[in-house]
Amino acid sequence: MSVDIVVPEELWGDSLEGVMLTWIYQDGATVQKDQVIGELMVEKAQLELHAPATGRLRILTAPETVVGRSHVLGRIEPT
Amino acid sequence: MAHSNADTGSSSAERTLTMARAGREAVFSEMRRNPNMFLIGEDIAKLGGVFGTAVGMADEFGIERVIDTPISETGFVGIATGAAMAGMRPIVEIAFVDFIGVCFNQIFNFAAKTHYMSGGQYKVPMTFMIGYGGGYNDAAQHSQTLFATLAHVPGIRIVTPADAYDAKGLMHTCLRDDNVTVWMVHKRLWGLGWLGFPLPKALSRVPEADYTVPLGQSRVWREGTDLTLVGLGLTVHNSLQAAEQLASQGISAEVLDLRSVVPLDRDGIFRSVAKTGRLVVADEDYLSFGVTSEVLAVVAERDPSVLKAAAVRVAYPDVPVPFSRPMEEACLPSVERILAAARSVMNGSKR
Repeated sequence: MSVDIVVPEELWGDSLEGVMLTWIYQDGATVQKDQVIGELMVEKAQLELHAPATGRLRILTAPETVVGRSHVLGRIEPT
Repeated sequence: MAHSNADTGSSSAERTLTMARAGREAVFSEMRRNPNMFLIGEDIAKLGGVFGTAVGMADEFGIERVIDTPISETGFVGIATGAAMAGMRPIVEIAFVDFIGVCFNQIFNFAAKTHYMSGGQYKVPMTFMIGYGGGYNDAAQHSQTLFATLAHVPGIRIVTPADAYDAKGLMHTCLRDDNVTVWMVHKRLWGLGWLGFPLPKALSRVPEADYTVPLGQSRVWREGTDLTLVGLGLTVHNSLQAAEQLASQGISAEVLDLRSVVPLDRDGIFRSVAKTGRLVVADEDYLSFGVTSEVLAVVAERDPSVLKAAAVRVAYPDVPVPFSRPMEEACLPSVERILAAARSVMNGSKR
């Protein structure tokens, strides 16, 4: 089963939106659970995105996209 | 094919990193290898550095090796210089190069000269990690570049990477060098969102293993035959954009990234200009007595007859950085200014 990549609720603070900055791995790459896979900006803070599971990365949000709190940035699919 | 490696938690998939992340990775690695290495500067332990240079370092290495200082560059540069003479390997974080003004005596007369003055008895293996550059409406004291100010004094090695691969490799090289090294990065290239989205070409594939990039070796980003565009740091990216536009007009521009200011790759500069016969140099430091002048001097001293047209410099005018946004924009070595210079060189002839 695939697992959604979302920004953990506690990292948002009072902010309502953020911006996707970079993906470290390419779409389709195999990543390990808890690895840093991308970066996101909320206010002036740079947040690290960690892989929620081990599997194949599916990127759903391009860099420079403005995202809301529940936005699904990508998915981890089983390999 | 990517394969998983669950034991180490690492992946064999290729990584594309920002310069900030790549530079930091080198510092982490060298700090782990070398118990005598420590980091000192303002807002690095608790905040992780104004530009995120030290994020996570106090957590791993503790506040005795990641030292937050008062706002006193003179003091902590002096501490680091003395510590280096006594066998430590300090890394000094200075967020804005503008701030080195208050520690010229420590840098110019002690850090840079003690190896020589002591007849080689004392080495001073310290590395400065410094941000520079404008474009943020930050005015005259937080926007400068100042390569030449540091480069003018013998004994200081200065590098400025233009992508993540070089950011990591040059950081390893600096941290392993037994001399004073200055690793400088343009704020716009860091890859911090609030300083501007990462430039696509500043992001690059970065191996997880340690590697070094040699000092004094320029890098050809794009080969060309009609003219050479020399840049360093952000002006490499501006030159690459200019080269793309020139290509659509049938002009083949070579883009040369100096990477090191000191030592300067004079052979690499001359080789490229001898091939193309035309030269434009772009730099965000002040025009007069700067890197652009030194690059032109290489050609003038070796063989000016290789030039088919007078060379042109695109640098910061000799004025304090304006606070006004449109005035600052007009002063920066933009793609447009590089293009205008390239066209004038292509239209020009030898006098």
